[in-house]
Amino acid sequence: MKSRECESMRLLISAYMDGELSPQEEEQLHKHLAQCAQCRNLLSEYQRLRDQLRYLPSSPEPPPQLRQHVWRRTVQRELAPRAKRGPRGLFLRPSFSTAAFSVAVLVVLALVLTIGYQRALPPAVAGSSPQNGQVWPIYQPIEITFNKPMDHRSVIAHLRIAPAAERERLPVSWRGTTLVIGADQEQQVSLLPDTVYTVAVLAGAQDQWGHPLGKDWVVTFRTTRVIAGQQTPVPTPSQATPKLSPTATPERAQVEPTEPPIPTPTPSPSPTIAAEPNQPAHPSPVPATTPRPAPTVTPSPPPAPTPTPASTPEIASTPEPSPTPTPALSPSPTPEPTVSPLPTTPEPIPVTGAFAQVYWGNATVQQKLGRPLEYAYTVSATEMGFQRGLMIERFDRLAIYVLVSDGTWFPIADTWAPETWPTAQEVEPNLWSPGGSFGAAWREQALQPTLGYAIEPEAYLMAQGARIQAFENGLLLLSERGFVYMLLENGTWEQFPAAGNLSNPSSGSAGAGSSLEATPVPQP
Amino acid sequence: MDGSAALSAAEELWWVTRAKEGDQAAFEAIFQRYERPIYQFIYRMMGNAEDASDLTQECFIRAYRALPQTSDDLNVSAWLHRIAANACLDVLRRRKRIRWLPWEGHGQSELHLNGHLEDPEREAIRNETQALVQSVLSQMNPRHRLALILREYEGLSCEEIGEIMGLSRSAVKSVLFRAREEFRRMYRMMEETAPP
Repeated sequence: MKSRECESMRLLISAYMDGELSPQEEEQLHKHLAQCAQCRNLLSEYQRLRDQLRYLPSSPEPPPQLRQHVWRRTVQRELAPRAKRGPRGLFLRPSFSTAAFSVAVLVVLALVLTIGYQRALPPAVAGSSPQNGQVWPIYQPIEITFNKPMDHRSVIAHLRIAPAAERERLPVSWRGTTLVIGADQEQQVSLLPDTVYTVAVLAGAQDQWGHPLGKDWVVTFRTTRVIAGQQTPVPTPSQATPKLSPTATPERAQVEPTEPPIPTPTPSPSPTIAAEPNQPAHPSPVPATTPRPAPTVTPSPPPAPTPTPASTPEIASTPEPSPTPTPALSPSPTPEPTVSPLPTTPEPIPVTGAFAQVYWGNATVQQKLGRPLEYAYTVSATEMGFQRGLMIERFDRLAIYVLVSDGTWFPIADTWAPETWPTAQEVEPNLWSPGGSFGAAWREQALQPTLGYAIEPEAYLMAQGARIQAFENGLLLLSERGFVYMLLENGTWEQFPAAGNLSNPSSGSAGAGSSLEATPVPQP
Repeated sequence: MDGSAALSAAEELWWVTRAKEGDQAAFEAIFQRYERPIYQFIYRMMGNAEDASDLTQECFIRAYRALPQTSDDLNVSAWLHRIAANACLDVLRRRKRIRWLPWEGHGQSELHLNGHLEDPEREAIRNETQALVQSVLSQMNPRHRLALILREYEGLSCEEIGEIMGLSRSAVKSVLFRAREEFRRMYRMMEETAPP
């Protein structure tokens, strides 16, 4: 009798361990336990069992490569070109039957036609991951898939990445017709967190048969905010959803820094992770922190009145006279149409080299910049990339241009002083609190919320200097790292991937053979 | 069942909705939240890092594919644990207890309950007990083992376990009872046969 009762009590004892008894059952169990040593032993045995299980050594942490493996087999596989699967299915087992032979002939014919078609097909970017405006995980390489086999060297030579420092850090490889940025056979490198990237393949990139892409292809996206296992950001609907066509239209050939997703306070579902003020909206073109308004676009030395020969404009020590007075510092929102010739200039000032592609290749740019005021010249300059923008210092004026990825820019003075010169400190992998004059300005102006951290420990010294040309409403600046920046007096800026050999100092100038001095600002 | 990065229920739903629409960053957020707990749960089930890594991958790949078909009020944790549990049970069933990989002794040296070094004799006894417990666990019926791990390690209620295992609450109580009995019986047996 007792053992039968004990039998039924065992289930109750187990349920008691789990807090699953009703008050009546619990009372019934307690009564039984009070008089049954065997069941009391069972209860203590169950409790010992629980302790033993709970005090087992802790489980290890997941291996770091797990994340990449999962991504490779999920998102990446989905995006992978289907080309691999296609041809494999086409190869037939050898057979001597007539039917099989016919099929084989058809297949060969189809292949020949396909190759012929492929050869004739104009090259284009068929798709990319990420797409424009997307928020992208830092662990995921960037992939650009072309519609046909490309000349790898040509594409890589015409590849531009902003922040420019990333071009050297990120490995580049090919998988079929897909260009993979951030991984190769040996390694995978994470992208920088919370960083606005622009990747461009210039129009000159060629397919295997020498046909050029014909137009620049550009994608701009932002990375997630994952740092050392911290939280990922919640993209705002407008950031996460844009599904722009990955193939760039001619209008998209320019890199518009106003386009990348700017974190705005995210709507309700994610209050904890989206409200960081990392992109303070600048209410005016020149923010309050700016010690100086936008600089004048004329060079420091006044241009000489004599016109110069067109063949060697930048060497000429006598640039065109500036018919218009030095542009006012106030914004000039309605520049005059560029079609009308300068009334007092006998010869139009040329815009050549890398600047020509930007200026003459884009009517909007012409309209925004207005007419050129002087010849391009070179200044000593350094550059430093940040998570959300960059700083460029031109030493001829000791001015630092702060270019924020929300499309605004402002100048600040170089406040360098030996005693305040900070040294760079790595705060996260590949992220630094900057040193040097940029670091001093970054601290003094409290630019961390705006720009984020530096993505390189030291400023990049432009060995050939930065090429600058002033216009009515702003200036063009060519960085050696492969971008032309258009800085407008209304406080906005845009960047354009620069084509051509950037180590050639005449980029942005007219004469191909004209060399540039370290600081050949046009001298009177 | 708590993971590394806390997400509120509302945030989680937001991520799920985004991920279902194909937002890869949202899937990453879910992965990031559950990678660690799922890996550790699978490690407990399988007893070695190799299986844990393989099956965690498998779990998230299955989840990625199944995500578009899930309901809007998805309980992500229970769902992922269910996928992980099924992946483990599949493997365990296939192996049919023929070849059990030995449990790894990971983290044994970390386990000093009072925060100070114990004397070698006590440590040896504790290590022996842990080895015995692990050995028993690894030889139990996989479903019993699953129920016990969900209850004792993950701290889930019978209702939650039922959601993962596809059982009613009373069936879970019954499985837990049988699991405890099996554990107790095997532990006793192995304790008796263990060399002194």
